[in-house]
Amino acid sequence: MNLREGSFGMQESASAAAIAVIVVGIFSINNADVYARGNSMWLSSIIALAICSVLFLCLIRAMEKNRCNSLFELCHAVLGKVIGSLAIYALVLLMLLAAILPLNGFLQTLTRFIFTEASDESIAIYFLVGSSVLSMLGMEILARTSRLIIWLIPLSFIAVFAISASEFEAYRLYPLAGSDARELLRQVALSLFRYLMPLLALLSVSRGTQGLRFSKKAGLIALASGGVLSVLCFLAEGLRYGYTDLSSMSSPIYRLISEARFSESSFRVDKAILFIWVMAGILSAAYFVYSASLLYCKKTGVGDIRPVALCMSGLALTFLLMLRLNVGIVECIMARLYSDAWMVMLVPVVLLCIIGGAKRRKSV
Amino acid sequence: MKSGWKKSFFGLFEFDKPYNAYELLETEEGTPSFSSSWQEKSQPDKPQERTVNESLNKNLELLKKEYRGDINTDLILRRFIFAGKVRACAAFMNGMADENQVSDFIIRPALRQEGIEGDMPLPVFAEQKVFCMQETELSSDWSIVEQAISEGRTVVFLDGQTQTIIMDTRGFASRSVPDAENEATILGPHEAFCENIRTNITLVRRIVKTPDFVCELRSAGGENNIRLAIAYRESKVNKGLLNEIKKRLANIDTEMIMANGTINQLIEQHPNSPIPQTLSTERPDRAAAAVMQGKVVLIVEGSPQVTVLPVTVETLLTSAEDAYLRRPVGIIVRLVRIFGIIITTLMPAYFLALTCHHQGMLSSEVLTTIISSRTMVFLPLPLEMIFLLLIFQLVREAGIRVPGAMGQAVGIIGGLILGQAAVAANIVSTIVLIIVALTGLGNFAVPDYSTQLALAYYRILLCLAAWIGGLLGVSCTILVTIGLLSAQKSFGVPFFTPFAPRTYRKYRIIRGDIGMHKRAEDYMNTEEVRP
Repeated sequence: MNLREGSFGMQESASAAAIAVIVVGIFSINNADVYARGNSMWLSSIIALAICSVLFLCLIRAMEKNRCNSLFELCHAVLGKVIGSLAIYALVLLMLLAAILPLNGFLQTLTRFIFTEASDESIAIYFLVGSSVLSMLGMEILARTSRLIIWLIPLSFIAVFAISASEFEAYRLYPLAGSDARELLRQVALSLFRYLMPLLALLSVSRGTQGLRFSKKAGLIALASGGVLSVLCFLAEGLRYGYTDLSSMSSPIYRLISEARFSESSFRVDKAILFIWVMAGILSAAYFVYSASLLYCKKTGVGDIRPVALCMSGLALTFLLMLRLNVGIVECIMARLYSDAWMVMLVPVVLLCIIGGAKRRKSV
Repeated sequence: MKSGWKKSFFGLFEFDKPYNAYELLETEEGTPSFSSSWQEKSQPDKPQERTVNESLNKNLELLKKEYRGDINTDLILRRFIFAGKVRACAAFMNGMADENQVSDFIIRPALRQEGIEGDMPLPVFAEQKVFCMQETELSSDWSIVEQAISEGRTVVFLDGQTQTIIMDTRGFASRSVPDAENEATILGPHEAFCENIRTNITLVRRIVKTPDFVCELRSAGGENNIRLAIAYRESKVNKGLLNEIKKRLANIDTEMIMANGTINQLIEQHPNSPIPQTLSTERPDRAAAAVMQGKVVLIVEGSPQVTVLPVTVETLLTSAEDAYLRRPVGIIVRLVRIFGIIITTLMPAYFLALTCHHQGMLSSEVLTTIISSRTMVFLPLPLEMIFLLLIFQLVREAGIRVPGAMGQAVGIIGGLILGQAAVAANIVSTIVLIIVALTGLGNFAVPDYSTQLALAYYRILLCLAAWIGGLLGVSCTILVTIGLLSAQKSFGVPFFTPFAPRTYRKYRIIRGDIGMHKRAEDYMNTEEVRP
C-alpha cells in the first residue's frame, strides 16, 4: 500500500487544519445568500464553532472508545458495513465540495479584479497543478508545507485589518444578530459545514498524527485559531460595509484592502496579500482532495493514492469550471449541495457520536 | 543502478513502487527500519579469493602479468636474500612508494639480518624482528596484495611462504595543507583539506581529540579503487544512520570515482533534485563540528572536499564563521544573509510580475522611472531580464575558468564594460541591470556553492512563471517548490528541519547563545538522547 500518510507532528497537523478552517470559513460563502437579511455571520460563526468543537470532541471520544485510529475505521466499526460505506462515500463528496467552494471564490476574485481578460480555465490550470502535485506528495508533505507558510496568513489578515481600520464604523453591524432567529439558525447550520469539514478531514488522516490525543489537540487548536480569524474577518467586513452592500459584493475581504487609501509614493500590497490567500486556498484544496482520496482508497482497496489524488483533483476542478460556466444542472446540484451539505454531513457525524459513544459503554 | 533519466522526479509517477524510504526520526513503532528499499542489492559482490603462491618466482610472474610488467616500468621488483638464507622480493610502485623508506627500513635491515631466530613463522619473524616500519600487515590474499601495491605500499614476498608482509611506505607527492579559498572567513581557522586522505583525517583528528572518533577506511566502490574514510563518533552517531550510509556505499557500482561529488550523487536519494542532500566542505573545522554533532563525514582520497551528512536547509545556509562571531553581530549577519537569499530568489520574478501583469501595485514614480529607462529598448522586459541573468551566469563561469591574473579582468570586462555598453546600445535598461546586479550579490550570500547554483537557475524558472502568470504563477511555483522540497530527505532527515518538523531548539532563524551548544540536535537521534 502506498497511501503516503507518513507521520507528522501536532504543529504540522494543526497548521494544515487551521489553514483549511480559515480558507473554507472565509472564502466559501455566498454573499448574496448570507447577507440577504442582515449580517449575522460573525455571531453565527461563533455559535457554529462552539457546536463544532462539541461534535469534534464527541467524535474523538467515540474513536477512543472503539479503539479506532481514523474516521474510516470508526465509520465501519460503528455504522456497520453498508451504512458505514454510504457515510464514507458521502464524506468523500463533501470533502470535494469543501475543496471546490473556496476555489470558486478565488476564481471569481481573480477574474473580476486581477486578470480581467483571462478565462476561467487558464486560471484554474494553476489550481489544478498546485493541488494535484501537493495531494500526490502525501499528507506528511502537505502538513509540513502548511507549517512553513502558516505564519504568512495571520500576518496578512492583520495587515488587512490595520490598513482598513480607519474606515470601520460600529453602526454598520446593526442589526447585530441578523433579521431573526430563524435566519441566525440557518446561518449556524451553513457555518457548521464550513468549520466541521476540516476537522473531519483531520480525523480521516489521523493515523499520521501518531496518536488520537495529538489529533484532538491539533483539531482544537486549528478550530480555535482559524475560527477566531474567521470571526474577526466577518467583524471587519461588517464594520466596513453594511449588509446591504455586502449582499451585492464579491470578495469583501479583498475589497477591504484594495479600496484602502494608499499614498501615491507607496507600494500597494493588496494583490500580494491576495496571492498569499490563493496559496492557502490551493493548500486547503490539496488537503481535502488528499483526505477524500484516502477515504476512497481505503474503501475500494486501491493500493496507491497518487492516481486517485490526481483524478480527484481533476474532478474537483472540472466541477468548479462547470459551476463557473453556468451549466444548468451542475449549478442546481451545487446550489442544492451548498444549502443542504450541512445536513448530509451532520447525519453520519451525529450517528457516529451517539452510537460510537454508546456502543462501547454497552459492551462494558 | 538506474540511470538518472529513468527515475521520475521525487518518484511522483512511479505508481507501482511502494514508498518505504529510510527514516532517521523514530516512529511510534520504535527505531527506524534498517532495511530500506535502497537499491536492489544490499551487499557488494565479493571478488573471488585468490591466495599468494608459495613459489616466489610464480608470484613475481603473476605480478608482472597483472601489472603489464613488459610495458609498465612503474612496478619495481627488488629481489634480495633475506637474512642470508631465503630468497625474497620487495614489490612497490615507483613514485607512489617512498624509496628511502624502502631502502632504509626494509632492504637494509633484511640484508643485515644474520640468520633466522626462534620458532615463529618466517613472515612473523620478519615483521616483528627485522623490518622497522611503523605500520605492517600480514596477508595471503592476492587482492589485498594488489591493492596495497597500487596504493603505494610495499609488499615483501618470501620464497616458500604464502603470507606476505605489507608495509606502509606511501610517499607520493601531494599538496601541503592549503588555505580555504572557497569558504574564506575572517575569524577562525584558515586551513583546508587537500588531496591526501591521511592528511585530511589528521586535520579532523586534531580538532576531535576523543577516543571514540572512528575513521573506517574502505574502497570507495569505483573500479579505480580509491579509498574512502567514514568518520564519526562511535558513541554518539545513530547506528541506523551509519548502517544506511554503509549500505548505500556498498551498493555503489560505477567505473570511476574521482572526488566526493561523484559519491554524493551516487548515495543521495534524490539525485535529480537541484538542491543537494549532502554538504561538501573544504574546512576541517566545519567537518569536525559535524562529527561532534553526531553526523557522519565521508573523506574521499584525491578530493579536497569532504561530504557531511545528513544536512538540512539550515546547514546549507549557515557559514563556518557564524559560530565565531559575537551573538548580536552573528544575528545581524544571519538576517542579512536571509535578506540576500530572498532578494536573489524573488526579486527578479516579483519585478517582472508587477511590471507585466500588476502595474497598479507600483507607485507612479516607479512606473515613470521604468518606462523612461526602457524607452528605446527593443527586447520585451521578461526576455531582457532572463538574458541578463544568463549573461551574469556566463560571466561568473568565465571568471572561474579563466586563469588567475586574467580572472579579475573578466569581471571588469563583463560587469562594467558589457553592462554599460549594453545600456548604451539600448539592449537592456538600467533598472533591469541594477536588479540583476543586486540579485547576483544576494546569490553570493549563500554559503554553499551547490545551493548557489541551484538558486541561480531556479530564479530563471520563477521569471518564466512571472512572465506567464504574474503573481499567480510565482505563488503557485513557490508553493509547489516548497512542497517538493518538503518531500526531500537527507538520509532520513526532512529538508526543512528544524522548521518543519520543528525541533526542541529555541532559536531557529537567529543564532542562539554559544553556550547552548551542549548536545547534538534532537533530529539526529544520537545515542546520547536515546533511552
